[in-house]
Amino acid sequence: MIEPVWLSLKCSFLSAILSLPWGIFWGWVLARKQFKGKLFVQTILYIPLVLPPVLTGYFLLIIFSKNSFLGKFLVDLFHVRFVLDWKGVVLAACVVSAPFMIQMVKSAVEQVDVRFEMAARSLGANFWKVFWTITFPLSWPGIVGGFFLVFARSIGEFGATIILAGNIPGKTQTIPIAIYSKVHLGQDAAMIPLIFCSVLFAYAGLALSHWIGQVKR
Amino acid sequence: MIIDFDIRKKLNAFELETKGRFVGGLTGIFGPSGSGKTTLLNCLAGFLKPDVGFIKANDSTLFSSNDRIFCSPEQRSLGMVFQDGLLFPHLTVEQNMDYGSKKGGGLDRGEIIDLLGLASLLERQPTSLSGGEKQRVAIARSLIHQPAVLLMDEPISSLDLKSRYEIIEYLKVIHARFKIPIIYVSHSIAELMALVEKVFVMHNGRGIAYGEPLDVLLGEASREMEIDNHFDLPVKKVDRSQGMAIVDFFGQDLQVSCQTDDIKSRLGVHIKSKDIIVSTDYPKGLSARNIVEATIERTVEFMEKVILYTSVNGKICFVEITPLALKALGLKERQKIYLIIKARSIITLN
Repeated sequence: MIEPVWLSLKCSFLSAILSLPWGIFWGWVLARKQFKGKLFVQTILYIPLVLPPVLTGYFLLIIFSKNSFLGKFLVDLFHVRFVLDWKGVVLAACVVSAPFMIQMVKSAVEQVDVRFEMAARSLGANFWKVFWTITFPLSWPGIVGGFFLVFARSIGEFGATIILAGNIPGKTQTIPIAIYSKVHLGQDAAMIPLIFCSVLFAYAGLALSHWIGQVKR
Repeated sequence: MIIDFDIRKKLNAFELETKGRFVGGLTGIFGPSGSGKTTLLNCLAGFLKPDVGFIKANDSTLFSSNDRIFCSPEQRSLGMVFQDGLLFPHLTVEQNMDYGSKKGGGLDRGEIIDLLGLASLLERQPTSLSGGEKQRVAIARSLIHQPAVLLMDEPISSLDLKSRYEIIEYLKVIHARFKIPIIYVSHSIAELMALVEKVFVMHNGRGIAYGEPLDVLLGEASREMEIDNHFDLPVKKVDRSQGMAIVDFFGQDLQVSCQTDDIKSRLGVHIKSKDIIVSTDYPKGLSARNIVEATIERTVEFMEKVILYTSVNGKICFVEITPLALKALGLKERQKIYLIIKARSIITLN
């Protein structure tokens, strides 16, 4: 019972951490930049939101299987594999929930009056100084809110995870996958603590996300 | 400091196509809304990249489409003060001021704080400041960075009348002390008359005139503008029981009603050009308290109004009358007239 809980917490936390740079980069780009093909890029970035997670998992499986170029490359050079591995749990959760991070960062950056950034630049600040001293401090509630939203979504990730990482107890069996197994085996009583944890983490992540998102800067 | 530019910039349906040469001192950019003042300023500051042309400051090229040169705003060392101050809301006043400070360089911080009267505000958060205070901090913030030029985009248009002319007085002091050239965008003729030495007039994205404020302000671009007079005058006498004061209006007395409690030696006086009545003979039996002798220097006729430049001992006071009144009175240049001004229609800013 403790293994799926621990695995879910670990993988969801890592997924949220990993989606931070990705989400901040794309959220900022979508909020601040105009470029050709922006609509296309934005749609691709957000598509995991609406694709069946099973399909997302299947694509990841094809991309990272040991027969694929990338999968072979990663195993040969770095001994990193995602298929049937806990790292696959992280990757699946990250890919499925990163659009939430992008969206949260995008709206947070859009809320920052771009003229504050102009004022900072007129005072001699370069791009990075403007970002770290103006944009980030004025948008961090949205960014941290995105972190907790990704965490909450990752806790609940099932479809992509089971395709990519499988259902290996103690290795890739997260809370939702454990519940799925127990439903099949008819072990209703054993599900109760898992259900409790699942609801608790989801609630906590979402509540934190909303609460921090409301902080006024 | 000489700024030379010849640029074209298309923004959706609007097109800026203008060239000019600003030479040091206090330069105004004047024009109605949508004439391209802010677009020009943003091009000078580097926030917008013109499509074609060049911008030079002294001998250095800030932008050139031929040579593919474009200096970013942070490389240009031009201070910018925006309409609403734009103090960083997450920093204190002091942190805002020090945001752009240079190690070992820059202007004397203590003196700037002194001149702008900011000592008591340093610990405050920007949200707790009044509009005028915010603008003073914004000016200090740009100055400490020691800009080669201070660009100001309608910096006082969102303030109340009193704070506006306070800021203008501060700007005069700052300019006299630090000699930093100021380029000041405004759609207020009175503001520009009170502050700048030269005005660049814009209309429909083009520069249409450049010269002394008196010579260029009342052209095409000012057709729809309200024209006010602003004077900073010495106080001669205060009558507290009546709530009145007499100020020296360039050698003639002007009676104004005002708050007499905190009156200082000088008084900001604001007179709308529409509130002045013109008489060709000395009027008798009037309730209005002020009859001022003046000479018509020039008449500028629009379709629906006429602006008279009247000289009160050499100082220009604008008067707006109707074309019918001009005809009926037979007013001509160099003619001596009397300006009738009700004490109550004079706005005092003390």
